[in-house]
Amino acid sequence: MDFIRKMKVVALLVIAVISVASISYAESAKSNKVKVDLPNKPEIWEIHKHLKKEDFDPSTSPSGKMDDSGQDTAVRTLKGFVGPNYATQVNGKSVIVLSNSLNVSKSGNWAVKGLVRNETTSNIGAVTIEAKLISSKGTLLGTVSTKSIVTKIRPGEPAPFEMTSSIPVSKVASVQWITKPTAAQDNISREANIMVDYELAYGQQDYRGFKRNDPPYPYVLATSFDNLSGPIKTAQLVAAWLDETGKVVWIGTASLDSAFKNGVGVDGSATFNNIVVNNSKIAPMLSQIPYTLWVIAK
Amino acid sequence: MKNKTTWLTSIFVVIFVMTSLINYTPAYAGAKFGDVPTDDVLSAATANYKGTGTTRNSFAAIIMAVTWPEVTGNHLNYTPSPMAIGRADVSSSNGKKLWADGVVSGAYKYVRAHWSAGVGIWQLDSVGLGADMSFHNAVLTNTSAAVVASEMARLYKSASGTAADKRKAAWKPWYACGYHQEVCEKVYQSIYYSPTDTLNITRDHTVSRGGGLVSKHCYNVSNPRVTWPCYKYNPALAQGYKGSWYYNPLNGSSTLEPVPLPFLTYWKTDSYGNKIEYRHWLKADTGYDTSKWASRLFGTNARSSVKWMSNSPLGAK
Repeated sequence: MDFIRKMKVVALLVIAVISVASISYAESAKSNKVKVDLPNKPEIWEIHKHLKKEDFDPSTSPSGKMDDSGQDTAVRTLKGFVGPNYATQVNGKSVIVLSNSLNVSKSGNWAVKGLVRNETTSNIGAVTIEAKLISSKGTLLGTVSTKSIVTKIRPGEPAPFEMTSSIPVSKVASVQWITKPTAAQDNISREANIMVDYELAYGQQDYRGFKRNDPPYPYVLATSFDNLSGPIKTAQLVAAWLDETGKVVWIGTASLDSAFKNGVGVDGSATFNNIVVNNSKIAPMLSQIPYTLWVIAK
Repeated sequence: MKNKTTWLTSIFVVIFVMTSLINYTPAYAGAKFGDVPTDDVLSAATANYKGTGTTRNSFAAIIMAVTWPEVTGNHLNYTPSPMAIGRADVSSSNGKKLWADGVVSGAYKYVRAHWSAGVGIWQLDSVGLGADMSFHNAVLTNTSAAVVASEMARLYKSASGTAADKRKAAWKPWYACGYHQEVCEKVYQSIYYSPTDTLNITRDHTVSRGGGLVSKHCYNVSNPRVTWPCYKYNPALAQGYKGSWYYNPLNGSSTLEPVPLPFLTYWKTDSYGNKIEYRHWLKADTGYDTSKWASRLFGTNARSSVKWMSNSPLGAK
């Protein structure tokens, strides 16, 4: 009887230790994540300074609860960024490759499009992404590298990259990823309110009742932005299209429209040259899948 | 001699004035625009034209020039309707949430509970300039003109080149202005006469600031004593030209968005500080078996972010 009682006590102790360890591990795992401050856009009456705040601020409306669940969305509209994959919590240590975003070529030479994410707690510059291509026998077939297109990446922010190799994809069994961030440069600004002006589907001969005059009717994305900080000399729009599984299928960039060749001043705005995609394999799908947008200014 | 000179001078003056009048024949005689909406554009131009190097009237013409191409099929003898809603955006690149419950089908039983993307005479859209505006802000011409004027001034002042180059830069975000903004330039030249700095606009007194949008007071049926301002949108009551957007098939098609049935709309800040826009289609207005309602977080693209619900608890008086 004593033996059984002792065994019960031991069993309870074991359970208690396991429980405490589990809780500690869970807490530890939770505490490893660091919350980041999102670069939220200013209010509309702060961008357009002649607006009357009371005309545009719903907090002036009396309270009457309808739906107080709090709306969050995976797609964020922030300063210099619109899209998904912007994390609100990071591991505080490194830049990671988002494995679900990787779109590896299916034939020909190994090539990839994908996203990295800054999981550190500081702004970083461009990230050098290195891929070591490994054969099924474990031998190194070669190493390819590239730099992220976005050259100032904030904590929690994703950034697109694209790389190609001269190694047949059929020989590549696995990939070892290495990321090396560079220091953020002070002269790069992300202070932009991004707007999409219109999007024309590939092959669509008219848009909103207007006949298009750009046969064979490529995919077109027209964008603009409000400058939210000091004067800038130049700016670039980066766009990445993700398929329904989150894989990056296309990356495009656009420079400032030539009308803004002298830069954009404080409280100024500008349009970008349209992103035009003629590739008949890719372009038809671009108007069917979401884009992520970045603006980088100097 | 002096009398003769005076007489000859008078003749010359009369001939000069008459010749000027004959030479000035606007392509469109008095483009039509709502009465109060005209005042709203002039007010917005006054607040924003400084620093552009243009006059108040010239800048007002720049602001107005977009509206006919956007919502009347570029007929200047039609008055742009503040309640105009876009119908041609059928892209699903960023989601299908404009359509009730995300079901893209003209046969869906709630199809005309539709979250229209482009709104008002400047067709403000949540993916662009209308991201941080509620529906009524995009319809009412005082608030919509104020935002458009500010954005155009920002673009105009940032652009380099001639005045015509700067106008093109200010219009580029509006597709209806044409690939090289030539459509809006023609409208501008028709509605603005620079030698006298005058606008060639005929005020349409039948089109008000809201173009038929009706102010209401909404409440939750569980607590009717707490009310808040809201608006009722009924496309059948829209003022101004409707021919470019209010036509069959009202249920939409593969190339056409539906025309929404009447709905109530308002904005709120929830307890998390989120600013949210709401649209409610009550059973009494739609004949549906439930009152559909939907919401959009400010700053987000309606195509991906509209949240659809049933059994709206909203009432209005």
